[in-house]
Amino acid sequence: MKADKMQSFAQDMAAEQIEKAQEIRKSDKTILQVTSLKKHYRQKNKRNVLVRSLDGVNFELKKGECLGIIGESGCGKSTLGRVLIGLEEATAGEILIDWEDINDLKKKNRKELRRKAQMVFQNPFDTFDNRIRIGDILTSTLKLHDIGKTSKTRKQIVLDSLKQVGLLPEEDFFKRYPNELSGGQLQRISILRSMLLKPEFIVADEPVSMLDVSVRAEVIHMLRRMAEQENTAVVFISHDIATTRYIADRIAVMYLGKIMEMGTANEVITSPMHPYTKALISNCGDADPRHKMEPLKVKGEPPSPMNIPEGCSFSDRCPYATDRCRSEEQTLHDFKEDGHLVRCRFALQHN
Amino acid sequence: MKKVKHLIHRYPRLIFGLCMAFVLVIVAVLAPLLSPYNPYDLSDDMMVGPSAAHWFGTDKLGRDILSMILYGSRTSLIIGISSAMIAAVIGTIIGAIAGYLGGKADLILGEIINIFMMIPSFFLILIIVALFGSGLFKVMIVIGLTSWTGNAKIMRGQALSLRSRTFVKASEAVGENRMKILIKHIIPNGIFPIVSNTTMGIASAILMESSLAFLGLGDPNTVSWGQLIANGKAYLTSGWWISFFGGIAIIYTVVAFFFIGDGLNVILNPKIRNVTNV
Ligand SMILES: Nc1ncnc2c1ncn2[C@@H]1O[C@H](COP(=O)(O)OP(=O)(O)O)[C@@H](O)[C@H]1O
Ligand SMILES: [Mg+2]
Repeated sequence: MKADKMQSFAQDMAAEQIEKAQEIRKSDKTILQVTSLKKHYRQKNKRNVLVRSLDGVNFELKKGECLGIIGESGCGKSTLGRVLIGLEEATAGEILIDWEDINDLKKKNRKELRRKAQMVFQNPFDTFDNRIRIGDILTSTLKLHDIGKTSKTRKQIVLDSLKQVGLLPEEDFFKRYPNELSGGQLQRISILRSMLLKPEFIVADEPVSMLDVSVRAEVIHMLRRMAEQENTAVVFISHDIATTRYIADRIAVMYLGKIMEMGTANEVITSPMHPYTKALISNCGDADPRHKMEPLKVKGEPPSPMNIPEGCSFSDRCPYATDRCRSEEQTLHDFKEDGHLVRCRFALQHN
Repeated sequence: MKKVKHLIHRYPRLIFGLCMAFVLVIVAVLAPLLSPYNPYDLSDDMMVGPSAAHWFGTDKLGRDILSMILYGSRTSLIIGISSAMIAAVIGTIIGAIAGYLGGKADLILGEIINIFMMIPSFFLILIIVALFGSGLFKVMIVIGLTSWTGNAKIMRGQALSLRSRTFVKASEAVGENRMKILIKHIIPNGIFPIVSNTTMGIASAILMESSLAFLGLGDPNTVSWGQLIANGKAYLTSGWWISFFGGIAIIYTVVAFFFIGDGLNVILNPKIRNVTNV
């Protein structure tokens, strides 16, 4: 019964996805452009060690589009999220939101930046101050951004939106404290709070990884529906390939602070071109049973952004690596000229 | 009834301390009703030992010691509570700003905290009182201004750990400014250890006031326990009761607030709670 529902839900999503992809090509308005983005940290105790969490990230996001970001933990996904919405400043590179530099935007009008770029955090249980009621959390967000003239209209807006996302009875949720709610309910409120501001894009950093498996689909569905309603773009960060494929129009695969491969969700998952993507997908059994491939064995240590190899950053673990890979860096390249970008000079040979 | 017993069993120090402090507050409030004499009135019964007419005896001017102690509780409580509050407010604000903002603000405020910690506060108080004279109000402020560093260190630590919590990041992401986050989230969520520390601070402020009075630097126009002890100093052999009961009163009060502070600490800090339960 539950599985049935999930399947029809998946088919719905696939149909919707195609429709949506066409729609995006029609509008084609870029709302986020990221160029050579770098974020380096100094370690607390060992000051001379440089942690290169983001090491040259490039991509753009069209209005209403959903970009999935996948990769092992520690590859810089959360760092990317924080830098994208301006919680942290980039070490180098450029972020343009609606063709405006994020740093200018922040200086000029911090609240406007907040209205354009929002974030849903990984841990819903810690996203809210437990001393403050849900209703007050949401209405104060509206007040902060001058949405709704009187406190009465703000309350009504909040009640309506609680109702809309199925947190019923809404009057009851309005009065509850965060620690009285479940993870799924909290994450829905977190999404709701971000969406109240009608942002241009929203970064969702592993929004369901801490939730019960049973409520994950529901929360993802809600995020997707709300984003579509407002035509909000989504940067969906996850290490769960199946979920990302569900929600994302395009997928970028990250490894040690770089994008290794980027293309439409279907292309990247069903015909990955980079050895790292192949390893990632083949080692993750639940991606898609119809496209079961031979698991690609990867040797060596798990990656560390403190010690990135020369040349291609994957060269020390890659089964196909040559001397050239170990000395010369490869750029993201569109080998088949179909928008499927790969950072591997042998992308065509090994397919 | 059972509930009360359970509470006492669970937090013996806190309950005990609260009861002691409650008695003290009652005494301070009802001092004029409870006192058999006016503590400022001189009489011909000079240097009388404890007796039916004067339970705690009289001093060399014939003033009733019991009445002086009852009235003195007001001085002690007012000074103790007010200066501990001043220290709590200053410490909380400076510590919270340093810990939450970090960077340069933390560096500068950290140095200020260190400087104040290094100066022996008693010495500082002596200088200030010597320069500006003494009075209940001045003594209160001086003690407050010299005893906030402990609170600041505690609050800084609290803010430092709170600032990496998701709800603080989420508030930033939603557009709240730092000042508002400080007041709305950092301070309310980190204040509890300050509460217990402040209760202990009341005890040490009372001790400090008594020491000042003992040295003749208190307010000469108000009755205080420290002053009482100082007056009795010369008659320790011939009139022990003059200093003795004042000393007992100070010990009682300090112990009461120490128990409350310690009890609160145990409740708020699960690590200590487990150790003491063993
Ligand atoms: N504030 C920081 N200081 C130092 N190193 C950090 C900091 N934040 C993240 N890192 C490092 O950056 C790398 C990427 O972290 P993160 O973005 O959290 O990865 P992911 O979300 O993909 O698991 C990790 O190696 C992490 O240790
Ligand atoms: Mg992460």
